[in-house]
Amino acid sequence: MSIQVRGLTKRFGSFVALDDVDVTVRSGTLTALLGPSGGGKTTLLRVVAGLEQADAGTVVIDDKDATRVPARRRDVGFVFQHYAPFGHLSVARNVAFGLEIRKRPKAETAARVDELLRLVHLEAFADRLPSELSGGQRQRMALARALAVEPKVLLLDEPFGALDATVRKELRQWLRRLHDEVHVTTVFVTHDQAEALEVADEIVVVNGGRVEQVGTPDEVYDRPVNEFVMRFLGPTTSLAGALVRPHDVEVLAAAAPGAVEAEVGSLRRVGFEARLVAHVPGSGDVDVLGSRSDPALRDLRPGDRVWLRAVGPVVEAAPSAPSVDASDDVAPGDPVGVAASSGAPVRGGVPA
Amino acid sequence: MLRPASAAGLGLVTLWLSLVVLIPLAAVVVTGAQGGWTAFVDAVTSPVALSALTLSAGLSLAVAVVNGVVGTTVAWVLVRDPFRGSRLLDHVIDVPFALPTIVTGVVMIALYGPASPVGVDLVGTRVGLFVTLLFVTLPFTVRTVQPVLEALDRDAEQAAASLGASGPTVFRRVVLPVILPAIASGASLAFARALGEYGSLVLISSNIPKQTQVASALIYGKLEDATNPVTSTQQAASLAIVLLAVSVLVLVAVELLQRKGRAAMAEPTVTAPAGERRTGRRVVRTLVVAYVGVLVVLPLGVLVWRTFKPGLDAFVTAVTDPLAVHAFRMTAEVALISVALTTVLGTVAAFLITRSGLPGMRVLDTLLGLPVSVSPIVVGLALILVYGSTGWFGPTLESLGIQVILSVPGMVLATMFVSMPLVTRAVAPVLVARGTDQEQAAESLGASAPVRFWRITLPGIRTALVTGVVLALARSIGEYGAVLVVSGNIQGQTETATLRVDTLYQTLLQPDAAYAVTFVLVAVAILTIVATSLLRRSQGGTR
Repeated sequence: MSIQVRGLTKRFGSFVALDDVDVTVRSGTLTALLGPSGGGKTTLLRVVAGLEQADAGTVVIDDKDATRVPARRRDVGFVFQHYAPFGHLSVARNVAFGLEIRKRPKAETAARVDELLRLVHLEAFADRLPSELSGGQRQRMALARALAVEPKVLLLDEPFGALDATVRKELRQWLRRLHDEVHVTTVFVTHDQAEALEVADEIVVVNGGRVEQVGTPDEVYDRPVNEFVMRFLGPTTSLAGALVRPHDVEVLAAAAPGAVEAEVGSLRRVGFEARLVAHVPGSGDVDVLGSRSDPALRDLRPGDRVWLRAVGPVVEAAPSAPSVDASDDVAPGDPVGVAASSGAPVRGGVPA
Repeated sequence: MLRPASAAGLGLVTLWLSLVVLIPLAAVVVTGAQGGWTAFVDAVTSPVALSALTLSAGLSLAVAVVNGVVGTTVAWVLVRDPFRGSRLLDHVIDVPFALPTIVTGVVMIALYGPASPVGVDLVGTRVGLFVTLLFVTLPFTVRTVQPVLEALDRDAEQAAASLGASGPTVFRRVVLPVILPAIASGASLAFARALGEYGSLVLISSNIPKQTQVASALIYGKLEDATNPVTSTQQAASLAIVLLAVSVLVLVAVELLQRKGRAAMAEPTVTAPAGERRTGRRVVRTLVVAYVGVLVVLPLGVLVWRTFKPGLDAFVTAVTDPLAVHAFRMTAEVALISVALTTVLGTVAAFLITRSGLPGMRVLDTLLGLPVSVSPIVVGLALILVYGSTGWFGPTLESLGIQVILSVPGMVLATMFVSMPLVTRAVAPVLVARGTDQEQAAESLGASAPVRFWRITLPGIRTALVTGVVLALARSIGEYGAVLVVSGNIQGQTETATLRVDTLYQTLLQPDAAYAVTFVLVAVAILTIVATSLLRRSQGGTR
C-alpha cells in the first residue's frame, strides 16, 4: 500500500508549512520523515491522514486518490505524539474502538484485541485505564489501537518524542521488529537523526516545508545532497572550505595529495573516542574524531604538525561572500561573480 | 469555514442570549432613557435614590476591600498551610454561593435578629447589611486567588529567599505582584455582587429609606409602586441603568485583569511540600478559621437550633403544609425545566466558545459573566419590560395565549439567566484542557461526528457537565430576587420555596415555619456542595 504525495502546499496564515512537496512511500517500507521542528513534517503526516486539509496538491493512498476523502474513511492508522488515549476506556476498549465502530462481531473483536495486546506485550494490562500505564505502555497501546483496524498505512507522529532516553531506544528497536512482523507501510516523524538512521528503510529529509533529500539511511548519510542534510545528520567540521564529518578526517604525519597542513591544538580522550582540534593557518580550527587506539592520534602533542585529509562525504560549505541581487544593475554581458549558497553543488558526494 | 453544527449552535445560543439577556437589558436602557435626561437625573439623584445608591456603593466598596484582604488570607491558608480540617474549611467557603439569597437572609436573622441567642440585634442597621454582605461575598476572592496560588512557582520564592529577602519581602515583591490581578478580580466581583444584592438583605435591612434601603430594594419598591406605575417603572429602569453600567464596567475590568493575570503566571510547576510550620502561620490559620467560623458556621448552627427549637412535629407540620408543598413543587418544576434547557444551551455555548474558532466568542464568554454581577432585581425588571403585559413582546405573546410574566415561562427565563453560565463555565475549561486529540484519533479510527461526540467527547466531559448541572440546579432552586419580580409571588400559584420563606417571614409573620422551609433549602445547598466535591474528586481519579 504505497503513498504518493504530489505538489502538496499548506499555509497557516503567512507561514508556509508545506511548499509544493512530492514524496513517494513504497509499499511495505518503514519511512522516516526527518527534519527540524517547524519544518513541516508533522503537517505532512497529518495531511496524509486527512486530519489537515492541504491548500493544494494530491494524496494518493494505495493507488486511490484520497485527497478529498475524510479522515475516517482513509483507513489510515495514526499514532499521536501524546498518544491521545481515550481516558474513560480501558486498554482493551481503546484497542477495540475502531472495530466497534466498524460493527465487527463481538467474538471477532475480542480475538483481534487479544492478538494485538499480545503483539504489543500489554495482555496483562487489558483492563487498566490509560492513566494507569507508563508512557511506553501508552505508546504501545496507541499502536495496537491504530493497528487493530488493519490500516492500509500506519502513521506515527514523533512516536518516541515523549519518552525518556532508555525507553526510547528500546521502543524504536521494538518498532523495527514489529514492522518486520506486520509489514504495514509505515511512516514516522522524528527530529532525531539517530532514530531515523537506526529504524527506517528510507529517510525523507524535510526542512522549511520542502523535501531536501530522499534515500536509504546509507544514502542520505554517505551522500548528502546539500549542506543542510549533511549538517542535520550529524556533527560536521570545516576543512579547506568544505564540510566534512569529524570522523571522516584522516590525520597524516606527512604531506600527501589533497591533504592540508595543520597544527595540533588539543587532544582529548572521551571514553573510546579521541577528539582532536587542529588549527589550519588562515582557515580556522578543524575537529577530528578518532578512536582512542588510532596510532595516528595516540602520540600527538599540542603544537605538532599534521596533515588533514577528508576521506568521507564532503559538501561545499556556503561561502559568506555577499551575493549580487538580480535586481541590481546587471545587464546582459556584464561580468559577474557567482557563489554557491545552500543547496549548493556537491563535490565528492554523488546525489542520489 | 462554518460547519453546520457550529452554525446551528451559534444560532441557538444567539437566539437565547438575545431573548433572555440582550433584548431585556436593552429594554431597561430604553425605558430608563424614555423620560429624557432630566427625568433620568432626577430619578437617580432624588434624596432617597442618592442615599440608596451611595449606601450600596459604600457598603460594596468596604465589603470588597475587607474580602480582598480576608479572601487572600483564606486562600493562602488553604493552599500553603494545609491542616487537618482545611478541606472542610474549603467546602465551608462554598456555602455562601450555594445558599439561596433569601435563605442567607433568614440564616443571618437567626443569629443577628430580634431573637438573637447572643443578644445582638442588627436588624435595621447598616452593620447588619455589612455583615450579611461579607457572608455573601466571602467566596469570591478566595476562589480567584486560590488557583493562582496553587499554580505559583515556589522556586521563585525560594530564589528570592536565597538572595536575602525576608518572608514579608518575598510576599510583597515576588508573590503579591503575581496574585494581585486575581485579588483585584475577586474583589471586583464581590463589589458587583454586593452592589446588586437584594434577597439576603431584605430581611435584615428593614428597608428604611435613607438609612438601610439599598439600591436593588429601592428598584423593587419602585416596581411594586402602583400609584403611578409608568413613572415609577421608568425610575426603576433609570436606577437599574446605573447598576447595570457598574456591572458591565466590573465585568470588563475582571476580564482584563484575568488576561493580565494569565500573562503574568509562570508555567505551573510541581508544588513543593508544605513549608516549615511557624507560630506566625498558626496564628493566621487560627484567625482564618475563627473568621469563617463566626461568619458562616455560627449562623448556620443557630439556624439549625432555631429550626428545631419548636420541636420536630412543628417542623414536619411546617414543611408538609399544603402551601409549602405547592411551593416546593413549583420550585422543582421551574428548576427542572430551566436546568434541562440550560444543560443543552450551556453545553452548546461551551463548545462554541472553545471549539468553533468563530469571531466574537470572547464577547460571548464575557456576556456569560453578566448574571454573576447583575442584580437579580434588575434581571426581573428587564424581563418584565420585555415580556410583561405592557412590555415589548408581552401583548403579542398574550394575544397568542402565552402568559410569560406572573407565570412559569417567565420564572424559567429568569432562572435560566442566572444558571446557564454555571454549565458553560464548568464544561468549557475541560474542553480546553482535553484538546481535540482524542476526537481526531477516533476520527482516524473511522468514527463519524455523532459517534465521536457520544463515545469520546461526552464521556470525557461527563463529570464536568454533571458538576455544572448540579450547580445550575442548586442555583435554580435558590433563585429568589429575579423570580420574585417576574412571578408576582402569588400564593398557591407562582410561589416557589424561596418565595414561601419570604411570605412566611415577612407577610404571615410565621418565623418558625419560615425557618423550617429555610432548613430544607439549606440542606439542599449543603447536599450540592457534597455532590460537587465528590464529583471533583472522581474527576481527579480518572485523569
